[in-house]
Amino acid sequence: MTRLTADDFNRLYREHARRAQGFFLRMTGGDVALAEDLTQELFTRLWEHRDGFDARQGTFTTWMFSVAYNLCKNAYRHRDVVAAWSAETMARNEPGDQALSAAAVSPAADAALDRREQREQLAAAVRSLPDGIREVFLLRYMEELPIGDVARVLGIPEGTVKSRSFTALTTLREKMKRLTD
Amino acid sequence: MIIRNKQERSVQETDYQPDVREFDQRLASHEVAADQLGAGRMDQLSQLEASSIDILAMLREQRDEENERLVVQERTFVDDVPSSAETVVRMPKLRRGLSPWWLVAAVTVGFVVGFAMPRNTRSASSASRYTLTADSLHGRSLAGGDVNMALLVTY
Repeated sequence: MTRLTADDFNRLYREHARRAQGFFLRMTGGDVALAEDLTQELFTRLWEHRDGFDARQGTFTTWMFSVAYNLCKNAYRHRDVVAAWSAETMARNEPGDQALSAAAVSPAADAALDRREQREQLAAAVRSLPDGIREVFLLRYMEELPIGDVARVLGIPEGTVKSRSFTALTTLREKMKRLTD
Repeated sequence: MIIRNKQERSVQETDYQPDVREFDQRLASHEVAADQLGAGRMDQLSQLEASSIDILAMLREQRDEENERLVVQERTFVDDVPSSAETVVRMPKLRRGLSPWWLVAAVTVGFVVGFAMPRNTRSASSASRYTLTADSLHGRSLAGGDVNMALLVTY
């Protein structure tokens, strides 16, 4: 097992820090400051434990997301983000759904609703997914990890990843359908 | 059941063989069914993914935009920071240095010294004798109150 040198690690930081920060941003429901803090904490931990990384056992990305996911869980636990997040999501869903309804009843809605709005509403729909399903969705479709890697990062069977992916996609399609109808 | 001889054993094996074969066949069919189920689920998921390509494309555009907007802190890692392995080695040494046994030893020594030393001054007479002796060396006489003060000082 070859140890990651500082040069290797600096290169990995430049390549992956933005991606990790984006992941944290979506995992924390858009909390930019928390996402920045978690990113720095993540790379500090990765650097401190770089001897534990074995390239033969998995990719750096899988390792990074495993630690990132644990950091998110700790952040949830310590800062009570989950409760705040649920309340926020519920509050956010209400106007979102109303917006969808409004879009559906308005005659000019189809013309007015551009791709950007659709994207933002879809992103809101992703944020409103239940915790376990949202994590699978973000890793599988936003970070584009293979099913096996998602299972390894979250510590769940591959079958569960598939069924949660299925649920997430079905839910989002339903929301999208309501949006475009 | 105890199998007494070779002939009986062969009869037993022959008796059970169809069951074993049947079990193997059932197991194999279950495995095939499980594979088909898994493959079926995978097919369904693949179909769903393929038909959701517009949604996923929009979400990935959103992701790229969000990621672009992020301000990532510039940071450089240098090798002279001790690695985790070195830290792990160093930590037990530090802990060993601050072992509670040191505290226990220090308290024990304190007790031994504490009980050994004041035994001469435990009674007022011995204390006064002690102080009288000490003060007589300095050529001073003691009144009653001074004995108490001397006791305090001695302690």
